[in-house]
Amino acid sequence: MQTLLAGLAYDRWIIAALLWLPVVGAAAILLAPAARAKYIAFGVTLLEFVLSVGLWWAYVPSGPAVQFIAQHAWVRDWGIQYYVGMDGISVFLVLLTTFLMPLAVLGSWKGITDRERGFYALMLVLATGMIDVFVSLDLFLFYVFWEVMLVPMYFIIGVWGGKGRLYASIKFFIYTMVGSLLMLVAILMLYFAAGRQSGNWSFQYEHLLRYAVLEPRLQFWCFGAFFLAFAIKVPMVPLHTWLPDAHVEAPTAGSVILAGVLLKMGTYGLLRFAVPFFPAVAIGGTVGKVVIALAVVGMVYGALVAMVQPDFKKLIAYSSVSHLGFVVLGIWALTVQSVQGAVMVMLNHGISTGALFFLVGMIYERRHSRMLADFGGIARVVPAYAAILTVVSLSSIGLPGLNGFVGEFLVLLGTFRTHPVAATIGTTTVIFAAAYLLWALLRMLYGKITKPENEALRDLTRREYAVLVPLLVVIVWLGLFPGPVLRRIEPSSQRFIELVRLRLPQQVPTGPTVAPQDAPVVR
Amino acid sequence: MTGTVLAALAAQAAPLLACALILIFLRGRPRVAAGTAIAALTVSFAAAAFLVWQVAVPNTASVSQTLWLPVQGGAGLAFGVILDPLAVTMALVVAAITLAVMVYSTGYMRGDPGFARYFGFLALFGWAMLGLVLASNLLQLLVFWELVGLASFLLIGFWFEREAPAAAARKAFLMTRVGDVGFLLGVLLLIRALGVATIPDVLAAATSSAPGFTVPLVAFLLLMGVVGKSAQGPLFTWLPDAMEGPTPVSALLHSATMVAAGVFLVARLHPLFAAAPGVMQGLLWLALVTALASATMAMVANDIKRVLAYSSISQLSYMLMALAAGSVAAGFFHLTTHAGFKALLFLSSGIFIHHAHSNDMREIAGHEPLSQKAGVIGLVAGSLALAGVIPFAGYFSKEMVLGAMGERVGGVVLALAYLGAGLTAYYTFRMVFLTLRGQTPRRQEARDIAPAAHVAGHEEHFSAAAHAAMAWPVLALAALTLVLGYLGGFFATRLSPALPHEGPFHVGGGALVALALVAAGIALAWYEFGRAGALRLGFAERVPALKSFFGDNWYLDRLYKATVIRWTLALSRAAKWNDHTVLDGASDGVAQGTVWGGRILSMVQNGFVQAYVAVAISVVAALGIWLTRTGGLP
Repeated sequence: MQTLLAGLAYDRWIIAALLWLPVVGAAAILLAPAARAKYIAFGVTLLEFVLSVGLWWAYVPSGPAVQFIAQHAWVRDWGIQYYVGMDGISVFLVLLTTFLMPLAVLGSWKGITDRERGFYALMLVLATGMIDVFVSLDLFLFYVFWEVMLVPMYFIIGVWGGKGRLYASIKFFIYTMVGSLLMLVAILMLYFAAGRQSGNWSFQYEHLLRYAVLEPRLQFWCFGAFFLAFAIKVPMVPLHTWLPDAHVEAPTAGSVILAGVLLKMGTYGLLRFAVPFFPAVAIGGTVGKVVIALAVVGMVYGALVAMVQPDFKKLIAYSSVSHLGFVVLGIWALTVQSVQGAVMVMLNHGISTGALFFLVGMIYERRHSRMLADFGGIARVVPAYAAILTVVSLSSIGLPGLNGFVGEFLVLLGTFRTHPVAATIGTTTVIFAAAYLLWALLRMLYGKITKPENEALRDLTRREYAVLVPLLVVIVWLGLFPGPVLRRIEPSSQRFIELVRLRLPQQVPTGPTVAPQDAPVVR
Repeated sequence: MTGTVLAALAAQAAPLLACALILIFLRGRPRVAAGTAIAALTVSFAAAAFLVWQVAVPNTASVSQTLWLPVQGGAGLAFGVILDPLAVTMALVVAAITLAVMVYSTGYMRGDPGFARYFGFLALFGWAMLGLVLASNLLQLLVFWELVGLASFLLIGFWFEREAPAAAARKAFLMTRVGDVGFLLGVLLLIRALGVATIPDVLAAATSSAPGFTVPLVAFLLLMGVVGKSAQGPLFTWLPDAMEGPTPVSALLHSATMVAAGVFLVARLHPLFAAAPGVMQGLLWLALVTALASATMAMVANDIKRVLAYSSISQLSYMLMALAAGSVAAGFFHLTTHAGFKALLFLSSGIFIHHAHSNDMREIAGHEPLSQKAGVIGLVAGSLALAGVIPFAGYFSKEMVLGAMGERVGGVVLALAYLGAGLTAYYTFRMVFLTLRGQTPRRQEARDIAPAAHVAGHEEHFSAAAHAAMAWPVLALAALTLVLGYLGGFFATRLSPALPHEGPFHVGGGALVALALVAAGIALAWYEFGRAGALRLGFAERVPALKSFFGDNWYLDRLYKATVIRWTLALSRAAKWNDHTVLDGASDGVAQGTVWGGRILSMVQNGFVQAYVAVAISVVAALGIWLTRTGGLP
């Protein structure tokens, strides 16, 4: 496989292909008749996925930190470049995106009936934006696509959403916009600081990392700006309230992409930018403790609120808040296991929660309700649906053998070394997760059929199987054989830790925050 | 790879394969599904028997593993199989009981619409338990531990169309998960301190007490998992509810799988627990209280399956007491004999339940129970074993348990443990007499039990084949109650070689006391329930307060509802309110404020030039004053 890919010069064109293919597709959709739109979108996203699969072999874990690099000048006077590349973490987030996209398109087949061209074109633009965020190595480029991505999502929620779509989409837009504008200011501060320091004006990631030396007070504010932007996106408590509204109102594909990929951009941003740029502020001192506290509070809080949600979609939205807390905790715990675990949780959450949103969407298309109380006992009528929903829920609960467990376990394992109390509290969320999801299943699937209108529900169609089976395969595969993925993430996680430790000034009491070098190797 | 490792892998692979085949391809073909599952468990059984012959008989031990979870620069977490007498003997027990239950189920579950699914879940259960037993790594054990919980969840809630089984399944999963949090934390702590999770390494480190490794804390946390899984102490109330599952499932759940997993874990990691004597002392007391408490609950239950469920809790307590007193052999021996006779008791009670369409012993008694010959033989043999009547299996293992306790603990604990043995005999034979000795006089409060565990699906008459499918496993297990008791020496020499062991028929002072108490218990049961003209009302049932207290799980479920569950829900609602009112209120407030602010400011823009100029001048004036005051201007 490697030789084949090398023969095709895969590493040279793959990012460009992934980035610009959807744009071409979007243009094609706008030119083609409306009835063709979904086929074009599906074809393009499927092609994207097929192309991206090569990354699995083409990415060399033992190779250079960043691979598949492409670099061109864009705005020469200001040092803005089209500069992209991937490390192990980016590779998997891109794979997650390309994997979910065709499924999201296929999942919208029936749900989206009006203005199809617009919808599918926006989905493709969204794909470009998301992939770019994960591969940008130039902060200006990153910022541009970070914002670009907002627009299609805003329209997807605002135009094709449910009854409260306007409120939800505006809330989503304003929340994320507030954060990102402050981030722009912080990026510019870094840019000027690095420029003055080196005499070389550039938005390059490594350049800013090396030369942007700010005084401590400024560091604090700049970190705050980055953190706010990403924490809103994650979302972390108490900045999360846009999420339930956005999820509930978004069409199925919107929810899937929102939960599956967009939230990951927040945690990716923390991992890639906020922490490495300002480790002294982020990790050392009070801020680090506050962030860890917020992560843990979010884990418990999200689970608690999920427990009493009558609306299944909202329940899943709050479970996302809880799961993403794991990711933040893993990043801040700053051990290789916890960071690997955090990345695994990102992937697993994307897959499991994506699948849950698909499942809710499917039942919504049949009954036009997401209220748990409107169902009850439907397992007898739709056995396949019930079986798949049960498996996916169990994966979200973190049952060993399915994907959810590995990531959570690694986060807890890594966090336990440095923050035992946070890890202990975090562990209790596995009870809550089981409680709210099993309770939901109980109310929705089991028992007697409570509503006569559910007697005639149709079980899964072939198209719906086509959406769900790939997700199930990945759920089982990642649960049983996490090794290959972890091996590919490990060097990048290791590098993240080294980068942060290297930049932690000596006077900052590293204390228990940083794992001892001689941490025992797990056998 | 040696033959033994291959056999261990085959024992696990066969049921997994069967489970996958059945659930994916054979849902619509019940007979093929059942055949596949039985064939798979036959393979497991043969492999386990081979392992016992190759490993347990010559008393060897080995571990072979392969990498599963690579971790930072190191060896990572390896998964594999551990092959020593404990593991392979347990594997044989698991495979044998699962196989017996499967054969029985072909009769019991005949005609159920979910027949194929049922066998798929049984295979899953078998696989998970075999995986747990053979796991070489604590993390791997944890994985299968959870899978065992999953299989129980699926099987307890098998008749999910009704509320009660679905709720019971959820309760079982959640309650055991509360304990599992402790287990998970214990494993995390252990890996953090030792860097290893391979069982022999963990045990070696525990006895050599590596620096920074707090054995008591780890032992305590791991025990939380045991308490949940083996239905002890405050976390036992899921088990009586789990009776909502099909009766063969109860047989499996109560004997060799699920609840046995907790006891097995303590036996597996015994050196680690033994290194924390304080924790072991606590376990001893907890188990003792549980043993007596559940015996009192069994004394007043009228549902035959609930009586058996409480007796399981009580017997599990005896196993744990033996382990806490330091004897792996006694605890595991009792686990083995109990697996045999408890499966037997459930399977024979299933025959009566099927016949009478009721779980209520008084109703069973009204349906000519004596016509069910296999059931009668099974019930009587199993009861004799459970009560501990010589020479049935339960006698020998209970003797070994009490003997082991006599060596280590004295006085009160031992006396109470003997008392428990007497109570066991009493409630066991209360069950026998209530079930088999004719009509109960009619009383007002006749129906205080759950409805019969039958769904409309398999009401039709039994064929002879179904009868045979149910009878043969029962008779085989009944025969085993006369055989298993002689394995004591086998276990003693292999699992606790350091402890003294007498032959099976060594009747010391302890044995005589126990037998006397058993006789007294049976006599009391005969007087109250068995003899002609008996009132058929036990001494505890005569006191309404006691009857309700014992019959309602000592009010523990009510306590949980009134406290933990209520508080959690209240907290959840408060969090939800906070989200909707405080947080959303704040963001909506900011939005509203912006809108109003905009409106107010837009009023300024009213087109009157005079107003603009006035504002401009006053602002400039204010700025000038402020600047001169602060020294900004010279």
